[in-house]
Amino acid sequence: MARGRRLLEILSKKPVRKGWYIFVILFFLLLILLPTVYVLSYLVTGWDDVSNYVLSDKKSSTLEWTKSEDELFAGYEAHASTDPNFYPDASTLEILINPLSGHVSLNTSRSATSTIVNTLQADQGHFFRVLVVDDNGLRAVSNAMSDDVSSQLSFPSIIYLTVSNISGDDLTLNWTRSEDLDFQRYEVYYSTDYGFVPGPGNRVANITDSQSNSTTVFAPQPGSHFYRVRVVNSQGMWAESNQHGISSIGEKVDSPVPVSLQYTFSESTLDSITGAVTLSFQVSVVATLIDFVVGLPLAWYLVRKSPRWKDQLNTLIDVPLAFPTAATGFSAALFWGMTPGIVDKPLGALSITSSPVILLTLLMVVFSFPYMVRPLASILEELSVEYDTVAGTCGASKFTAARTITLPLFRAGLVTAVTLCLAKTLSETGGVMAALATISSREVNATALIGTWKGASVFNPSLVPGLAFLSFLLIMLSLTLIMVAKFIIMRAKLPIKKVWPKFERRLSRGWVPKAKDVAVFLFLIIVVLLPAFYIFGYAATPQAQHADLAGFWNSLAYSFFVAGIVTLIVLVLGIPMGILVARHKNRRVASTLDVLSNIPFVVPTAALGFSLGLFWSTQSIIPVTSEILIIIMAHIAFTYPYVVRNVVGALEQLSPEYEETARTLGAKPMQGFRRVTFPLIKMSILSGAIMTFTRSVGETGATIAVSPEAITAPVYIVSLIKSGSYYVAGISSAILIIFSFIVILLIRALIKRGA
Amino acid sequence: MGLELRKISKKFGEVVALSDVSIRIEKGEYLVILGPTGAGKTTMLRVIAGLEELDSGDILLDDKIVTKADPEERGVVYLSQTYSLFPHMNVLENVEFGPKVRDWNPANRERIVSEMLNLVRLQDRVDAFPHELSGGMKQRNALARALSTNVRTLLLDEPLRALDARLRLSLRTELRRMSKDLGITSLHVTHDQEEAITIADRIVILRKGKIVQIGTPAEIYDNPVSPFVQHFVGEANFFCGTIQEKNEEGSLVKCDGLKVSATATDIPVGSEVCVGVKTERCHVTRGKEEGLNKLPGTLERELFLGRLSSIEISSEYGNLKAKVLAEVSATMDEGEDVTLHFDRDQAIVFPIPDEGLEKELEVE
Repeated sequence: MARGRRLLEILSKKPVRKGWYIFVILFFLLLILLPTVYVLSYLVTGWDDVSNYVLSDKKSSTLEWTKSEDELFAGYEAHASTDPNFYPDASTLEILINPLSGHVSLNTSRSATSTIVNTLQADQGHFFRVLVVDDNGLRAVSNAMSDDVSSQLSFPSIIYLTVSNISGDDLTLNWTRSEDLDFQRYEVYYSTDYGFVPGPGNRVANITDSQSNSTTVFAPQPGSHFYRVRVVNSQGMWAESNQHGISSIGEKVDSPVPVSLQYTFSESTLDSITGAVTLSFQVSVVATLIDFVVGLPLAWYLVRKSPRWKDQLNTLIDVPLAFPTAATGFSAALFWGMTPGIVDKPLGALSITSSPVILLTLLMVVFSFPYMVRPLASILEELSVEYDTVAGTCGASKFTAARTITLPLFRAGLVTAVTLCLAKTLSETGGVMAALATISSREVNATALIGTWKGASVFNPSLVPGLAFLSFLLIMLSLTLIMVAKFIIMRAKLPIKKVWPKFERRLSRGWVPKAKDVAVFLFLIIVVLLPAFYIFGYAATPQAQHADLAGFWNSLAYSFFVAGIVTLIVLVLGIPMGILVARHKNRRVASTLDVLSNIPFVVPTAALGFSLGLFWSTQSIIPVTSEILIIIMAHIAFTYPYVVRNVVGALEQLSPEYEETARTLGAKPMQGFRRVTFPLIKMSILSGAIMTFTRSVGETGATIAVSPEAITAPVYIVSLIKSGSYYVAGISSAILIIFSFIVILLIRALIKRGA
Repeated sequence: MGLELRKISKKFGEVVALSDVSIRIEKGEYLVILGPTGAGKTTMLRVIAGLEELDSGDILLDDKIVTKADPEERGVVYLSQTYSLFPHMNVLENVEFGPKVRDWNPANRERIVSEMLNLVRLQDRVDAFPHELSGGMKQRNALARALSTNVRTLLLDEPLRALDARLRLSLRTELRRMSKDLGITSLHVTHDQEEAITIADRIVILRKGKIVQIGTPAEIYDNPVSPFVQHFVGEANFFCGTIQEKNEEGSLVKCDGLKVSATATDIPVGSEVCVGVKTERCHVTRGKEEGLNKLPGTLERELFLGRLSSIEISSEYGNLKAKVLAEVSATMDEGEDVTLHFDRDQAIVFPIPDEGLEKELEVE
């Protein structure tokens, strides 16, 4: 007790208080705000790179291949050439994927089974192959693929070589049969050099029977003998097997098994960026409009009709806010989307769309709907019902009164609602990635593109200029869109001058309003609630698959650890900032801080994460290399406004007299805060803390944009979906949601008790 | 010595709230600060409490300079207009607040808290929360909270404002009694001149951040230093003119056609002056009479106030007002010819205010 008092006294000392506030402001400006917008400075210093990689006529080629399981795996190499018959060598090497080039673990390199090549000219067609290299320097070459749709060339699939019957000096080579229709021949290559490149000089056999799959060769012992087999089609295009052989000391020396290159797609880099950004904005604007059209009547119903189960309904509308979006995205995509053939149609799912645009729009409505209803409902609560009553006594029908009297009064509420919806939908990453993976779509919006590119940039640093440009564009356009929306809403001339009494009276009576209420509720249930809660049904349906959750538990622990630390720090730094904004004597300082502290709120988190990662890797004053620290910093940045906003809002409602009176009664500043102010604003702080925690747990965009290696729970779920483990992903999502709720209840209990 | 303000000044941006204010307040004195809205009254309390920083000047409590001290170090309790009872604490917790944050020992704390609750007669409502209390109880609760800190100086910002009229009358005497019984120095801010006159030991008239006059209620009422004070503390009629002659007994002022015999003045003969007479010190008789200190006119309106009536008369010297006994006004009818008169001793001579009389009398 005595120690606590001493601490209070120390904290109450003027210089300590001042120092603390200065620390809070500096921390905010230098470690939250600056990193958030740091990408702008990159555009200046790295402009040459941007114009070279983004604005010039370069293309981004995505390559995807199967994962190598080789024990001696050392890395992949991505090769490209304009020559269809090229053999991968140093001159065709585009990207090196190994622990050294990415400064990541071997495991991470092995799992990196896709990359983006962005140095090729867009006006030419290219051919790609991927190599697997092992510790001995032995390689295996994948099949080739072309991004040139006009090319008439086809390529055989890879075949695998095994060796059997090593008896005396004979060796039997077996390979998998080629399934190619255009098969022409197998070619067997031999060399005594284990690193040999197959070529005319070392071809030892041609086999033209496609059914043949083995041959016996003479390999006198002792001596070194190495073999590869190629399959060649009528166009002369080939695929090569792995290499088998025996070294001079009689040891087996085998190359890795080749991976199969499965997908390639090229698009002008600038087109990728604009396409993704366009998709983001299109989806965001449409979803916000839908939110408004349905949210307004629902808010009206909630407030003005005040149904008996209003509180329950409110809770139901708000609950999805606490769901990590990757889980919700998966849930909604399972509900709406057509899942690829390998997965059975989930029980009870509608499975009606395979269009990424429609699915994303529906998804964004689920995410943003509460953000529309909440502000509209709270402003309606404040607007006295008397205006409507007065209009009614003047003879206006209900519809006319609502349209001409009440609606124009809540423009401000609409601005808040629309800003929140746009910011939320533009920023969404995890849900988008989960949903798109669920329907196996490769379409990306801007945030998902940041995620994908950031992941690939670990091994391909030349993606950074594109990322910076994309982030910059996304930030600027988001800010612009929000400003424009604000301007339109505040300035738009509403059609309120004219009144059509008869028509509007008809709208106000009989079946029309009833039909409206029914439609709104159907919408709420089918479009918002069912898709959000569908995951529980899916997870509860027993499946033959065994769910291995070990990886998920690790990621969950990681997520909760990060979210816990983030919540603590944001509370400690955000509350004083809120106090400064609400109570600073100099109003100009206060309102500047207010505006600044809101910036991270409207910056899409993936762009924020990228910017922040760039900041921490570029500046050398504070040497932070720990992944988890940078992730925590990123999560602090985008959750910071939640606490500040809430504290400011609560303090503005609260008269400063309480605290002043406490001071004159003898309370030290800290005592006054703890005993008087804090208990009075604690519910707001609580909701800010809960928001912070759930947003941190649920965040995908900022996390992957900072560090592609961090496996937080939502990132893990997205990767599960990508790898086709739907059922495990389903159970993990359900657990993640349930655990989030448990923690929310705990925070609530803690803060209640702490006061 | 209780409290001393030495040339204190405070500005908010361009707005002057206090300018060069100096007062000495004796220990145990009940001082009322009276002034119109925006005079700087609340600011004065807030700088004394330490809730606002001074631009210049010094504040002394018991002869010690406390200008820079934090509010909690001053031992001065500020009671805001709304009382600011902590809404999440009940009556008892509110009263305990001061002793608790001062870390007094529990026995001592309990004793003083129950003493104070008894003093304000809230011992039966200790569990009630502020929103469950009536206006009067809230005020007493706030008072108990203030007194339980062993406070020596109490700053009361319009403490009776939120109460209904009857309660206001009974509580204002109680406030004074309690503060006197406990020997507390009190500064009580109000804009209600009647309240000020009834409870103050001394009144400070504050206007536009400056002290206009300090004095006992009687001095303020009977010897106002300016037309403003005379008009603000009980309304007054004013006549402007020139001093014709004067001696030790009195003076003669000529205002247009009217001759006014007024009190003695230092102002030289021939100067422009105004003469003010409190409406309560004017008499009205029926019929038109001419002569010294007699102003004939027509009765325009009568306003029944209870024991007194307010009468408005239109005359060639402007609109005049008088407060007379209701029995007297009852004998007169609206539209009737009447005459307003006053004694020489009630007519006080002032120099013409710098900004003109009209500006001088404005209260906003």
